Amino acid sequence: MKFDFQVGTSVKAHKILGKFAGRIDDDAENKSKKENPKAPFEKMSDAYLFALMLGLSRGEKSEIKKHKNYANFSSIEGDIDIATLMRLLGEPEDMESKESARKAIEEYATWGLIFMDEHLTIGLDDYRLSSLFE
Amino acid sequence: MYIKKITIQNFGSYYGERVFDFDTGTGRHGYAIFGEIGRGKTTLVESVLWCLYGRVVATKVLDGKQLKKNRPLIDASQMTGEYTKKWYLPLLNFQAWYNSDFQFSVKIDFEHNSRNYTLLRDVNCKGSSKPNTDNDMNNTPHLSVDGKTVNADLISKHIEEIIPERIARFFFVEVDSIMSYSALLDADGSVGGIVDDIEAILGMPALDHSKSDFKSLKVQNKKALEKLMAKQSGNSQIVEQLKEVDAEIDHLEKEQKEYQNDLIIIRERIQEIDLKLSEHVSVETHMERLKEAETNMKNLGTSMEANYRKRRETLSGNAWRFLLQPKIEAMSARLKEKVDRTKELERQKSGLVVKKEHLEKEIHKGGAECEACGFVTEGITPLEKDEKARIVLDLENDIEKIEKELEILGNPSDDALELSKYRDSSKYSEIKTLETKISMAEMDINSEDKKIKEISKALHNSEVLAVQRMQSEKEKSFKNIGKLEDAIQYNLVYLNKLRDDRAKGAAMLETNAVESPQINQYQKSTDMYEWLEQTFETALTNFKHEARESVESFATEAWLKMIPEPEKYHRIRINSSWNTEVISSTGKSLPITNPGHRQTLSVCLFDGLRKTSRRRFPTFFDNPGSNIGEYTLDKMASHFWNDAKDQIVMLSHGGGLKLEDTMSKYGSKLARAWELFYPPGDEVTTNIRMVSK
Repeated sequence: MKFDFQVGTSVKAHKILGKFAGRIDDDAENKSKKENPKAPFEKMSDAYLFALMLGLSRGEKSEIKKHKNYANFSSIEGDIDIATLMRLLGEPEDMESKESARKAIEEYATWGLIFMDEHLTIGLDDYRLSSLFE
Repeated sequence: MYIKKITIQNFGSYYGERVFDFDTGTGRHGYAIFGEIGRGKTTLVESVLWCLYGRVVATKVLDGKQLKKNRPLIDASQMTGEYTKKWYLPLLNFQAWYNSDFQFSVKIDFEHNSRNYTLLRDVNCKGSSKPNTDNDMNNTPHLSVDGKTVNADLISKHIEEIIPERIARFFFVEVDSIMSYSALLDADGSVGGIVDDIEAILGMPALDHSKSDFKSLKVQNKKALEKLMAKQSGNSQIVEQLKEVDAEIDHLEKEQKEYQNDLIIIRERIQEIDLKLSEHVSVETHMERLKEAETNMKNLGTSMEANYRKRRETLSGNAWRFLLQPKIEAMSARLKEKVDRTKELERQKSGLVVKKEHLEKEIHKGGAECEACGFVTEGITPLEKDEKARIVLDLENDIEKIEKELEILGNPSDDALELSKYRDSSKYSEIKTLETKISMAEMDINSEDKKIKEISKALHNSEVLAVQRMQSEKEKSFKNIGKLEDAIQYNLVYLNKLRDDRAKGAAMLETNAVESPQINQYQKSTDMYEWLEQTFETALTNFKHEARESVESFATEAWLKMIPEPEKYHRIRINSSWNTEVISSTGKSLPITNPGHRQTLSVCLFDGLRKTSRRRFPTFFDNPGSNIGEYTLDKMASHFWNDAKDQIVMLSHGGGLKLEDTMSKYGSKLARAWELFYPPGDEVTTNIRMVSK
């Protein structure tokens, strides 16, 4: 099943999303020019997917108070069957409805982004992610 | 010239006043000065040269090039610290500086052509404050001849007439001079100005000038003759053409001269820049280090950027799968259990269904009436039937439960299949490797950055820009030299063509010339000047030849006296470029590679030159024996001191002539001998002790 809805994150996580893709501002998705050559991801969608999977893998979500839309989820998931993964690996209520799925996706991603920013940042603009692969 | 007395005050390592009295009245002219390295032997020779010519040249070899620079009179920057000394030390004695005594002098009393001279060069402070550079000092020479003072402006001219500076190197012989003469043995044409100096000491330039004068007169006369021939023959067109060619030749020759002058100026400027750059050695070194650190930084940055890029590519790929693996593993295990359970339930359900169907058959097995005869067969009892029906009902309940559970279990096989698509055994260890590399590169960058900051700090007060400007000017100068040399070559080709054209035109004029007394007169004059030019050319060639033969003869005599196993050698041969070779007794040219032999040969050639020139000056040999064996040194002392007709001063350290041996052997031949030494507890101040009786 493919999701076709808009997803976002919290406002704070959205800024982190931009930083992870090397953007100073957070508008363009496919800017070829990187502002920060140390950025860990090519595009914001790559960072979003990674953060979502991080949240899902840890079973961690962050409640979103101030919401910020980011993109249509279809442009993020590509060939991946997120619905199945969430059904099998997520919490039962994640897939109760389309709305609950959207909410779960956003909360997993938000948690992932905030976690990486808080724990894996070095200095102002660099990140060390290898601890996630241990 | 005969030196009677040298008085040195606060000069170099000489602190206070020190006197060398050469006037012994013994009729002997050999002198010895002993002293270990650094005790003031070379300083004595330099003090004489400074007194005569007002400068002492320091030399240093940098990158294979010899740099020269006049030593300053005073340099406060070198005197204030232990590590601020440069290769061109100031002339003022350091102890005098520390005692605020800024006056120093050298005085030479000598006799020349039966007249008594006193030459004093005196340096003192211009003002009352502490001097810093030569600009703060007065440097005044004083000369008196037979007690009569010579005008200060004429002193240098006077000295040049007595002993020209360029030939002084043949009489005040330091190791540098010996080495540069040694270069003549290599015959590679890189001997610098020494050939000119050799010809100067032998008086050749005078003959050369005369030859040039006659050549110039011949050319002038020839032009006047051509003009006259053209006028008389009415062939003014050729003269006009020759005039034009002459003008062009003049123009080109002038241009060539300008180019040559420019070349000299540029080369001098390069030398000047090299000299200045040598003073900035530390700056240059810092700049090289800075460049190296910056290159390292750049390389590290590039490598780090590549590692960041690789990490980005990896993280933006399927790396997220790694995060899900533990959950996928757990879920797969659960799904497997579900699959097993499903299978078990289905097996159970199947058993129950069979059982139920069997019971249902039995329930329906009750008495049945035959349709044909009406006979009723025997069946199960109603009681049994009820019992079986109850069992069937239980079975149906069990089946329903199983079906419900199966429904809850869903389709775990499909889910397991779906999930297996996201299994990933990759450890993504390259992320760790890349981040380790990035961290290490960061540390290296920090270290290089620190280095750059340190170097920048060291360069803060240095003249970095000045050095850069000089280096860039030097590069440009080399390019300009290339351009000028090309232009000179091009002009030369064109000049030769013009000269050929001119010769043809002049020959035509001559063919058409009409005989006349005036023409004959010019013709005779031209021929005469040409004859004189050739005569001087021949004289110069003969003179050179004879001078070479004379130098060869004197040098060979000295060589055979000084060298061990003289029977192995036949003679010293000198070619027209003053390149020198030693000929063996079998007539072969011997390579002279032994440094001691090279020095000995140089000393012999100096001796030959001095004797051939017939100039009578005192000769100072400073450390002639630094590489020479004891046997040769002994023979050298014997050669120079026995029956010395001119003053011969040999200065030697303990590795050369040894004081006690020398004095016991040659003491009676010497006019006077001194030892230079440091007093106890002092390692910088020269003291003098007379060691001869």
